[in-house]
Amino acid sequence: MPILEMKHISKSFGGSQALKDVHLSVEEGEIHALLGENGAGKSTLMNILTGVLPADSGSIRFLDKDYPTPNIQQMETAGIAFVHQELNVINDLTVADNIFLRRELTRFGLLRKKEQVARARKLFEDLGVNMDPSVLVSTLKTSEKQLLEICRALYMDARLLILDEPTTALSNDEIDHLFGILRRLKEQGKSFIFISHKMPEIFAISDRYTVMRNGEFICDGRIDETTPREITSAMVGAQYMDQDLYEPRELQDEFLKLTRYSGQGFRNVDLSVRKGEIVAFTGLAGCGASELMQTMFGALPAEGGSMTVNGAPVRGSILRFMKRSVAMLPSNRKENSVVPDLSILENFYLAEQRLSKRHPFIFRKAEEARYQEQKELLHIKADQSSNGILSLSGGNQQKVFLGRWLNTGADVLLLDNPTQGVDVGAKEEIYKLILGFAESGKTVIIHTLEIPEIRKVADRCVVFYEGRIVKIFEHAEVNEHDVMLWATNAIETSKEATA
Amino acid sequence: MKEKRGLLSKVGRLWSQYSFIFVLLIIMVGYAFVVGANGNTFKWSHIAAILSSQNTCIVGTIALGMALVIITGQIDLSVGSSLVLTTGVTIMVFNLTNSIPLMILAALGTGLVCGLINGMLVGFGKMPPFVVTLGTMLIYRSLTLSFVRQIDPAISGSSSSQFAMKSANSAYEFLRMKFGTGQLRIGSFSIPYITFVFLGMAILFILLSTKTKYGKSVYAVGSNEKSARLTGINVTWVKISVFALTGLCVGVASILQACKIGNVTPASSGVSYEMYAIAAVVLAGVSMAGGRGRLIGVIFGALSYTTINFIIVSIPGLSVDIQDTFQGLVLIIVILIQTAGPAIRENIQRLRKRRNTA
Repeated sequence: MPILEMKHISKSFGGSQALKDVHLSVEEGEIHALLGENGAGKSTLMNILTGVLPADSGSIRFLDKDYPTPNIQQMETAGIAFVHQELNVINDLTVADNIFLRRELTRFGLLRKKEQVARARKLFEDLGVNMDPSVLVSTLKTSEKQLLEICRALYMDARLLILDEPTTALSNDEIDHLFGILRRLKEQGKSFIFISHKMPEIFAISDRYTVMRNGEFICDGRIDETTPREITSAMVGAQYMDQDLYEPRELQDEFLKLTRYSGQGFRNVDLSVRKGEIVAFTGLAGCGASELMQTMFGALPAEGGSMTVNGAPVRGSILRFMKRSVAMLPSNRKENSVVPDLSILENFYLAEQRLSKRHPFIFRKAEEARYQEQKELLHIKADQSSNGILSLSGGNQQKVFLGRWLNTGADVLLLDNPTQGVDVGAKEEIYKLILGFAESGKTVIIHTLEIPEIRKVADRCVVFYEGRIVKIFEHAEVNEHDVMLWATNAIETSKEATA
Repeated sequence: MKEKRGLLSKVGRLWSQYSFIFVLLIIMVGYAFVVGANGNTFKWSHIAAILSSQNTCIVGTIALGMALVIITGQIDLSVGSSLVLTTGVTIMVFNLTNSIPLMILAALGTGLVCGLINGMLVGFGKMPPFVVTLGTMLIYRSLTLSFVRQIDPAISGSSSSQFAMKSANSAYEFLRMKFGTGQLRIGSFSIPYITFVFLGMAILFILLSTKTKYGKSVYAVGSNEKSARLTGINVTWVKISVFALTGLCVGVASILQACKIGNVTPASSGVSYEMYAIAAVVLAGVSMAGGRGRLIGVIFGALSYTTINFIIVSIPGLSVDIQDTFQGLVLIIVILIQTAGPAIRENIQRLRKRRNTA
């Protein structure tokens, strides 16, 4: 008897169909893995389930009750809790305050702080969580914040918890700890929708699975009746497996060199990258790869060692790095790339204008012409260049920002998670573009957590663990399993396991 | 139905982009009505009076700099006090030297220094601009006030705690009578000279904000500071520079104050000018959240603001005391339309969509 049944769910945004006739059913007391690549529609489906987005059609049945037009409040009281990837805890309050947020215990209108702390402590004891309810959340580790959010949901009597990639920021021990808690809760009859990309975890913890691709339901079944290979091909789909864009290229001389390079979150990194090479940085969140990339662009200060581009050392402000023909497409487009009040053209030209600011005036026609060239080249789908940047889809925005940096004539392209929040089709296009950049002699470094992405473009894959390079794979050696082992620093233990 | 919706949305877009013109038109019509009700005919001289008012030219010039500060998402509360300080220095330099170039230099220099102090405290000290400029607002005025009481009347030009242009100087006649209060006559129209200074400054700032790379960086910083930094913009420098530009505007405004009014009283001149300047910027349709707004709107904003004053003054039986109440009301109504407008439109669209799907 399933506690949740979603049937025939469809949803479209503007012209694009995000979900098409999707099914999902979750049993009581099971951990259900919801699988699919980024952009497969998992988040949209979960947003519909939690009442954040209205579905265009379809039905939702939870605990024998139908929810034709669910809203957030309703689904919360019904017992569905969403534990988000970006944590929704308030750093400046204590752990207990966070748990009781919006349902504070009061007497005569005054907070009963002691009682809250006591009850939180009891809750943690029941769950086997080791956390002090009276400390500030800002002092917690990411994994503890994750646990806190799960505890809060449980305190609110959630019956079904959605865990959106809960392990990305966790170490192996922490993951084991989390899984222990999940198993215990499962026995108490709680259900989980578990969103993850990591096969070993999925097979370690889940009971059943549902695979989605391109907004469609692909298959579901019991985890113990399938294999990681089967699930992967269901997730990726045959057409993308076949479409291998990568071809070995003739690499040129060394162009970029890091020598004992240190900074916030990484130390003593030695790396040499050749002209026309594509190198992927990967590792768990917090492994230092993103920080390294930002330091290589002057966005964070270097603390030691040196970086040379074409033999000349580079340090100082972002503008200095730009003048040495380094460019960075930052991660988290909305926060770090988009200038929401400016037009497409203005967004496109912002970086180039820094380099050419000796000529203070803008020549709109010349800018427009250059933009049209890049637009053609990058296949940007946009109406007028004077429209706001937010009128474009995520993929097209990202292409505008790629263009922003190509337009500076940069030779070194640092791409931090370039396909984040980009739909599958646009992703493929971006891969093609990246390969094209390398072909034309640009040096590309791409930071990503997605192994398939690395397999598509990278000549080499550099794995980081706690701020150090632990392994460098050649293109042919890259596979999810091995990269993951190194990224989690589990290589020693797993050698025995695979042998 | 469809056509009508298209027209409505077009008007809506025009309104949201050029709301400052509509606001001025509505207020002008109101003024004409009041003038008519008083038994007079609305003439060019009424408009010329608005154009030459110190609220238009002096506050308007300051508002140009203020607009840039607000577009970067900051605020400058010190402009009224800096105006007093700068005008004091300007008048003293004139009284001592009788030289117009030196006087202009003193005005721009002092204004720039006042602005730079604000900018550096905000930019390098990483302090909130509201607090910093609140502090300098108190400091600039109080410094001027304590200074004027101690200085030799021969230098300050007055013995009654104010700075006044020395009429014995040979350039006095030109500055005060020809330039400060004089008008350019074209046929039956006449436009005050100081209005040209304001308009000239406005054109300069409009060009700066729309046609230069610097201008784009100002908008970018106000719209998304993080993104702006990651395109190589020196955010700290941009933030300092807009305060410096505001200082220069104050410098120009202090020349206008010296020439049009002839004196400045540290205790009472320029009081609340920061609020008037902010009001003009808001009426210009500039978003207080930063990143959005057109400098051309400031011309209209300043004119609207002055016209409201004129309306209130010309209604018989209304005392000047109530003036600020009306100004405040108009300000709130305009902002309400600006912010509530899009929200209301969104709600209507949502309702319409729901009705269509149901």
